[in-house]
Amino acid sequence: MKMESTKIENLEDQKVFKLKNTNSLYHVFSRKTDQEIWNAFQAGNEGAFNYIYFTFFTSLYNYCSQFYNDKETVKDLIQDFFIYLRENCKNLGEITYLKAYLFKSMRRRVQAYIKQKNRLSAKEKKEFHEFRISISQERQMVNQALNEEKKKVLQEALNLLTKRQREAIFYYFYENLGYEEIALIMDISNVKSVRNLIYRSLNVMRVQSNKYDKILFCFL
Amino acid sequence: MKYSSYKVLDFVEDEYFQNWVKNPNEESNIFWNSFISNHIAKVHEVKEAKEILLSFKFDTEEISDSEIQAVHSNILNGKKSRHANIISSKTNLSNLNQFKIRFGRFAAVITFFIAALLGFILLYNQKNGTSSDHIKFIEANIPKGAKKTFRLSDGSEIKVNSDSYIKFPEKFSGNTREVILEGEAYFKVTPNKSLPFLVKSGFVTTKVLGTSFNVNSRTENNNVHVAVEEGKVEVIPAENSDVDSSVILHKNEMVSYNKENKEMIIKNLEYEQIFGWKDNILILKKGSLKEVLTQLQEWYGVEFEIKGTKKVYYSGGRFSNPSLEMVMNGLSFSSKFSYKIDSNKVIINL
Repeated sequence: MKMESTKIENLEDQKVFKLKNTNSLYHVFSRKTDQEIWNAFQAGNEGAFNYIYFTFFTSLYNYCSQFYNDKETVKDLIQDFFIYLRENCKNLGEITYLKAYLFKSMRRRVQAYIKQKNRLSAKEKKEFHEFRISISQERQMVNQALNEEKKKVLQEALNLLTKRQREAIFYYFYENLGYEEIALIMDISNVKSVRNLIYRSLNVMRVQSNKYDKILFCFL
Repeated sequence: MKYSSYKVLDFVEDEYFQNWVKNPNEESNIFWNSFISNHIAKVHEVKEAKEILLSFKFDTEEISDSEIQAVHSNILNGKKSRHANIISSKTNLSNLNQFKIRFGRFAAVITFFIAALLGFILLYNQKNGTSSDHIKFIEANIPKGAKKTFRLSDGSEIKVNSDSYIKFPEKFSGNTREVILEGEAYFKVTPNKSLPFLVKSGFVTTKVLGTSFNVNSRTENNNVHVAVEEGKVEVIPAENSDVDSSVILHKNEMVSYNKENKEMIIKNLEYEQIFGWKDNILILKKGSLKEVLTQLQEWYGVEFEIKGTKKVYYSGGRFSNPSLEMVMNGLSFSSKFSYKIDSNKVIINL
């Protein structure tokens, strides 16, 4: 058995690491509510702005890449968005969920960009597979419960998901957003519909469940 | 209980189960841990379901910290990208309306208030900014297996333990002396009543007027320990400006700040347990072999490989100025295993 590194590399740690060189911003803002951070930003607090930027950049980048997979463009779009936020901070009004707000804003921007681009060069228009989901091959857990064969079956099941279902899984499991936040981003009128959407997405796996249990049986 | 008949995919679909995987808390941990211990046959299924929920992956290209920094400085300079004109202002407006709460007639008042506040902040920043622009900072990452002593411009001394980060100005200016620490360090502060010495670490700030003490913010659960060797310090929780909640510590006292409960617990300290490291005294706490090796990993910066599965418990020990061989000899004797040191790696045969 090889000793694992002693530090738990969770998301929080990564955040701290990134913010290490921007003073102790993390310590100041991580305990504040979304509204408090937003109000500080609107009042012109540079620390609050930097906190928002460094905390959410990677998430926003990953998110935008789901719609348009070009690193430079995505970076540019995020850059313009944050410049817009800075220039208009006083006119932006209140927010309920900071991350959902940032996501929703970027979603519109990326989609507007794609639409415009397609209009400019109709010939190049390509269907891009948005929210391409897979079962991670990298995650090396100490007690790996999922073997390759099971992963393959699960992947087949995931391939049956619609774009909307994949998107919901992205928010709910990958970005750890709540039902209300997802409803805001996806323009769904009520929380119950979001719940259903996520439930149905996972239910798709049932289609494959016969196969799945057989594998389970073989290995017991 | 309905869960006793569940299969992997039933767990995957279950909302309560999902919530535990997504955001475990004390209540759900208790529930699921007791479920597992009462239904040993389900352990594998629970594990597998959990792993499925954590294995969803979405394609993206890696982005480096330096790229993130570069975009950040473009933003601060207001440098718009080549795509800026493609996104119309309409996009911005329509997307914002949903999030706006309409202020009606109060808008003007509030805007004025914000503007006034902004003006104040700008002024304030400028005042501080002019002096801070010229300050050069010294930063250091001390790796595992190393320790380093720094002498500050005021004559104070900091000995930084392994696996820690420290930042301080080359020359102190302003009304305070500020140091940022992640990890563990021992401070010997030159007294100066008019210039408080502040150590910002994890979730607390330690304020001193001249004394020697130890701060450790790299303990389990992100708790912070502050211990006083000489003099008096004040420990202030960082996110809590409420002065009442700060704690005054005296000689031979230590405080542990618990991040979760926001609790300060004061204890009398075992001198060598806390301060030993600065005099090169290694105190190995009792515990499982893995826990003991974790301490050695920090101290020597070596890797361990364990062969065999025998359970080993170590009852603790004290070593003065020890070499790795010395410690390994002691450990292997009392816990009955053999080992081999291979440059940066120690192989243990249980």
